[in-house]
Amino acid sequence: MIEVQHLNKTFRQKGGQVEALQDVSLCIPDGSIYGVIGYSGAGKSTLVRCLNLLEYPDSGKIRIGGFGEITLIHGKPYVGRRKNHPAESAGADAEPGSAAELTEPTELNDPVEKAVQADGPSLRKMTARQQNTLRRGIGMIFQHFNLLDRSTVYDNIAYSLKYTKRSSREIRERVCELLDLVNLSDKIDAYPSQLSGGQKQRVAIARALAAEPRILLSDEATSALDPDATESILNLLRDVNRKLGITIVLITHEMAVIKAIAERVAVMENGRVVEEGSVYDIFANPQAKITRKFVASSSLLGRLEKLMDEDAELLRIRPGEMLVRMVFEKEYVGQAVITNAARKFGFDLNLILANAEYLHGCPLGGIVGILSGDPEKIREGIAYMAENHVRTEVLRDEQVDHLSAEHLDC
Amino acid sequence: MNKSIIYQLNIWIAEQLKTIAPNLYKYKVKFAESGEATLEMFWKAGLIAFVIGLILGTLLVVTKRGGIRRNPIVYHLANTIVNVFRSIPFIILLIFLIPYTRAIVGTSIKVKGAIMPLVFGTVPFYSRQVEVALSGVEEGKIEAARSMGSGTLGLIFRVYLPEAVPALIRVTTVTAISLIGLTTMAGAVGAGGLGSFAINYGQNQSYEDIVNVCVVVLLIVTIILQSLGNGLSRLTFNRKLITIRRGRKTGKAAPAASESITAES
Repeated sequence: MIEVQHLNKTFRQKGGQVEALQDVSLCIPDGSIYGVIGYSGAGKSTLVRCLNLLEYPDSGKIRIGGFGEITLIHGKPYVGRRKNHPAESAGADAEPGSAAELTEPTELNDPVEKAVQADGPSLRKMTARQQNTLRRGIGMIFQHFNLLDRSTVYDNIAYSLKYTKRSSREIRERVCELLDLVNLSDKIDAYPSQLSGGQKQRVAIARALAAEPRILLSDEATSALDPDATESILNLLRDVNRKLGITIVLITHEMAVIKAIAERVAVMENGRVVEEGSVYDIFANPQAKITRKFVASSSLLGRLEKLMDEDAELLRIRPGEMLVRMVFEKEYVGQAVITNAARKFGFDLNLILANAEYLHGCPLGGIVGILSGDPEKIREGIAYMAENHVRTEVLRDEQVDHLSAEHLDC
Repeated sequence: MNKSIIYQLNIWIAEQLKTIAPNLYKYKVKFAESGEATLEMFWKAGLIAFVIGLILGTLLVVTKRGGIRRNPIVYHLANTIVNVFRSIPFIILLIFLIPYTRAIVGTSIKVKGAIMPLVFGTVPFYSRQVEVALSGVEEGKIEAARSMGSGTLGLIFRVYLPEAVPALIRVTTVTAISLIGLTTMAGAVGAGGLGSFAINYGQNQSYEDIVNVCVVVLLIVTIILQSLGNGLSRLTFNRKLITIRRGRKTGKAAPAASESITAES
């Protein structure tokens, strides 16, 4: 379980300050693939860098399973027992399974440290060594791969293994094992410059997994790849997640990536998490404006907004007509609710756009169409559809338009 | 047989030298001595400057603002030392350092006395060059290494220095060539060398051929150094000079199938 609470981070620059993270709280379940989506500058990169302390949040708490709790005070990481847990202060280990190294008590002489103690009892500054231990337990892959160009594939993958107590024979075995996993066994002696982008990212994944981390952070890992390589890397990540049970935190600006492999997603904007939930729910029922935009970008129904903006001929309606979006809820995609309603209430449906797809085994579908007939009947029909698990949204209503026009005349 | 061919060749060269540069031939022993002195100053001062410059340059990169171990005090100290010594013309530095050289090395003349000023003249320039070379290592590589748990030393010895090798070779070449230029000035403290040979025997006695030959010899040395540097830099770009093969020794060729990167299920 990765849990972050109230993370704040402000970058101070010459031109002013950028609030990269504002009160970000998240909970990432073990063994899941968790997506974080946002436009560039939304703070998602900063968030993921805070998880392995490549960046220090100004304040907040980070809990990473097995590493205990890290508290950030004035941009410095502290470890120790949690506040308000007097029962735990007796034992040396704050919690079972936490690294003993992180919870050993040490002497306190520094007055600053003492001041910190007032803030949270028995907190100690996290040493560089503790931070490196933490980082070794979290793998990370990057948009631009960041392989060492002057090292062979073998040496790149063996990089972090040299920090473990493995013999050179064991290192060799582990590297071969990883190369098998990423399907690049024949490239063991190749240099990164001899590999394609997708192959480089595979090596990077093997390298990140070398020291057997439980968490893999992926920072726009597919953004620099062509569609084929993107798909193969996403498949590999899914395999890694399933076979090895590694938690993957995936940040991206492409909704298609989230749709392809993530189970849960957090949508970020201006350093805040504006929406969070299962990928299915986010796609089926986006709330925030930015989420709608992301969902639209990856769905056929998303073209509607564009057509509306362009005021396309297709969407113009005559008096007595209504432009309606109808979205099916999870289990009801296969049912003929709309035609039933049309028959029952005697209105016509002029189909404009329709889409159906599967997201994590759940069907997701919707229709945009123009309903024509008796307005009263249409309203009743819409109510009927809502009862039968079809969410409807009236986008344009000629009557309403007329009314408002009349009001304006007065 | 071989020996006699070389002997014949030497005779031939001597004959040619006699006709092309008769005055140089007259002072050939002095010329050889000067060449030797230049060479000695070059490699001794060069070696010391290489080590110190590498350390100082690395220190500058590591401790500067945004570096992996920011330390304003160390950075400003190193930076100021480098700036001060870089701005002193070498010939002035040579004289300025005389008492200190005497105190440290025991003598301030001859080749022995010239080494220290040569080091002082080279290190600031070289450490700046090293700083530039190391700054060229992509930020992302450093970040990746940090994410794998490398500390400051790990980052320096496993990322910064190895990744910057081609650039380091280039800047070392440039520095070596400028060091050759500096050694010619060391005649000012009686260290001899080709520079003072050219002045004392060529210029002062109006033996033009001596000056010309000195120019040609230095030119050849420079060209050799430059080509060596360029070649090595090219050979180490995106690869190691000598690659250790780790491929499985199964004898059979690796399956060609995994050429395609979409082989995943």
